[in-house]
Amino acid sequence: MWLPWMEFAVVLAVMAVLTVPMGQWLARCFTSEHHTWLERLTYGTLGINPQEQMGWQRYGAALLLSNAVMMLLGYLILRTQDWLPLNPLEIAAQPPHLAFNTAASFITNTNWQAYAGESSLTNATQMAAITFLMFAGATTGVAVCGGFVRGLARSSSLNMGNFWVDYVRVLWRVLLPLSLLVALFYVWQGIPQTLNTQTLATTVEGARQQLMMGPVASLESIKHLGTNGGGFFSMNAAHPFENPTPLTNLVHILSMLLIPASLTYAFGSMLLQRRQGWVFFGACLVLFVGFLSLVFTAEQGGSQLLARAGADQQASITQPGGNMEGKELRFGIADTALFVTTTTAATTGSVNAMHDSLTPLGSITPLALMMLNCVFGGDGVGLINLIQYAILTVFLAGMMIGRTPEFLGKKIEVREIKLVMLSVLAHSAVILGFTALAALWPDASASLNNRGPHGFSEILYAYASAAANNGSAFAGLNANTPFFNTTIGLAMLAGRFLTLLPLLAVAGSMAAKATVPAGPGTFPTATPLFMGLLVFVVLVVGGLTFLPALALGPVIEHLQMLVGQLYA
Amino acid sequence: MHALQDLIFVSLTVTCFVALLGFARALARI
Repeated sequence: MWLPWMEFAVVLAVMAVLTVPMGQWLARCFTSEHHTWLERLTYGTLGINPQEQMGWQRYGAALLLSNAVMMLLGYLILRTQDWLPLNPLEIAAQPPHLAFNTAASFITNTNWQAYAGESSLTNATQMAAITFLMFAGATTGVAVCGGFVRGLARSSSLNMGNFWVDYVRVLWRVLLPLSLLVALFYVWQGIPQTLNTQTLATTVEGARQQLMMGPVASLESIKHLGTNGGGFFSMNAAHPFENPTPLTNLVHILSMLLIPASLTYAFGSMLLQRRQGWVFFGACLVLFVGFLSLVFTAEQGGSQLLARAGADQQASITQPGGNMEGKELRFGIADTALFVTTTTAATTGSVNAMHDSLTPLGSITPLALMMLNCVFGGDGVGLINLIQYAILTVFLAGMMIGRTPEFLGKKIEVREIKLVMLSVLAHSAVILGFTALAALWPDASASLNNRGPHGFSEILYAYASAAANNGSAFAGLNANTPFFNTTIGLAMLAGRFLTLLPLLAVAGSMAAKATVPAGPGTFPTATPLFMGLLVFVVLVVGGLTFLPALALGPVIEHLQMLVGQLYA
Repeated sequence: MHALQDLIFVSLTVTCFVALLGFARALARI
């Protein structure tokens, strides 16, 4: 049983090694004075003045306006795909409520899918709407993180950089070249990259089978590097065309963690405080390993109900043992547990197993990681959310020991704490508010596959996924209804921007403050003690906010499983 | 029917982003 733990250790060690060069690359991207010819060409074409410096309000307005235009463009393509080329199967346009949900989903880097990609989208839409918005959403997140960290680094300044410059640089220097490299690797591993829509195969029994294909490799690469998550196929990364080999499974996992983990190093580099960056990396790693251990041991332990039904859940040379319901035989328990933890920690949403089939205790891992939303987190926003908790930790620690809260040489005052709490409350209000509404909505129960606490978990998971901009589904909820498409669409927009805007305001406020040198009253934040406190605060705030909801779902389901309680 | 729904969802999108711009302005006054 030591082999899975060795595998986890090796994967996380490789991630830690990759963090340094990637972090250096990101930091150079955010701080370089030089504009490449490609960037100058882009500025010239779009009429951007790269020398313009923006305050946080103008930076935020540019972010909102660019995202609004791209979301409307995505909506237009989804509504008119039946008129567009590359549609030999004559696939119809998405209905308006589904197109709204899909466009909101992909621009917010959520990639929640209330449709089956292979039968609902043409290859033109997969490229022009889905892959385009995947780049747009991920680029926005990383770019805003660059502006946010720059704001923290500046002193007595009203500016935090230029949104358009950050956006163009992240796209040209980071995401496009990396995605191209990874896509070529995927093609080598056998992932299709073609404009053909299908191929016909003859099975062993002699039957004819239609296999859907398309530009899968190019979508897969940005899907994981951009912590996007929406699959070309509805089976997502459990489908052999999306995840054909153990090597692609490993690269999927590393791709998801690469940019969120590296941004902690980029943060340390940009502030010339490398230890602080490693403290954030360490806090994420501690939480990641804790939740990975929970889902792995729960799934390996198996289900009491399956045991009563006579299922063999013992590990042997022919099976991995444990709860294999909803899992790919080729991935087993270990690779599934690692993927579940990674995809919800990095808020990607790509899945290589059905999360609906996790044991009740195992399902706490994805739910909790989406609720906390800061364990590495999505591209850019994960680090921003973690720094929000760091500011809260400094404030609480300062209150306890009677020191003035300071972070990165700046005093934390009433305004910053108000803004931070607004962001923390917005995230939880979106999840719990919409879950309560859906639980009371007359027709919502008709969308559930299960009754009782598991049915509640299906609703809670959907809105946690939407608010955290994760996009994975419990898969037991038929979300393609006008009610769910509209409310989940709104939850994704609120979850993205109602948390991001207050934190941009925090960065703007911190940029305007003068840096004061550390004195004897300063609480040091680049220490293992602060790392422990940060982990504690994240868990306490998350626990106090979400434990009641978790108690109604997976916790009570686990207790009922122990006494054999089932719901017909 | 779909034209009316398109109008509703496009208006909803525009309204959301306008409201977010207003939210950002309100944050500046905190």
